[in-house]
Amino acid sequence: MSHRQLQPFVLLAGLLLATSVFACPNCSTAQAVRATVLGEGFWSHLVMVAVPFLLLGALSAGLYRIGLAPREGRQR
Amino acid sequence: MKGESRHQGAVISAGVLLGTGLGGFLDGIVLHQLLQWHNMLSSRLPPTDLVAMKVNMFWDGLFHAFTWLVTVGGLALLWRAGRRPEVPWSTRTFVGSLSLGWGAFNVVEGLIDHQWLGLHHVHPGAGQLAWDVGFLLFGALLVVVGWALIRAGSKHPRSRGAPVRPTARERLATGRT
Repeated sequence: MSHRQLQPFVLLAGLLLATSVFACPNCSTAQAVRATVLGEGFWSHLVMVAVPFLLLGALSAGLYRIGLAPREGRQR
Repeated sequence: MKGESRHQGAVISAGVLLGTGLGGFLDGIVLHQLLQWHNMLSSRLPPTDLVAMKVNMFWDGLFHAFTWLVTVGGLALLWRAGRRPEVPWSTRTFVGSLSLGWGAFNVVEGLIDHQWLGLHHVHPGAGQLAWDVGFLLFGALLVVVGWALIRAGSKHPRSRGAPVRPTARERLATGRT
């Protein structure tokens, strides 16, 4: 791989590193956010966010059967 | 193609997932980010300080992650449906199922998150209930329109690979000119 091909990857790695450095994962704000998100209510909030998508996934799975040939009569 | 089974459900299920995903992205991008009317947990944890805003941002991100997964699922199903000859490739069916998915998302999200759990409201403050009801009614309208389009699509099923315009023989057979 030539230097020219490596340049975008070096740029991306630099940007990612800069992002993580400036994100300051151990600052007091970040710690408070982490404690609030992962604290009491995390699982209930996760379920609340996921439930509409699970219901619509189930609806989509049910609608998949429309027009499907009966199992015993199916021909390939 | 006559006499073959026509598996309309393959396109419908793909369209419903894609409609759900696109509707979710519209909600997230327009209502959460551009207009900033609400966030995922804004009724329980109002974003009045930096920590509360960042916590809401996390749950908005998770909402978008689920939306992305549903969209990818819809794309995969659509790709799979497109490779199968017994699936009628009807624009009405597809657009109808997109509308159905978007509307069902609004109805389910409106009933569960807005009305039942009270996680957030469409536009909190004065007239909050009116906005929530409007959101639900818009969703119900999309469901009705989507279902009507799907039914219209089922009347003229056309398998994938069949010509888009009817051939002269088909026009003669059906009496259309």
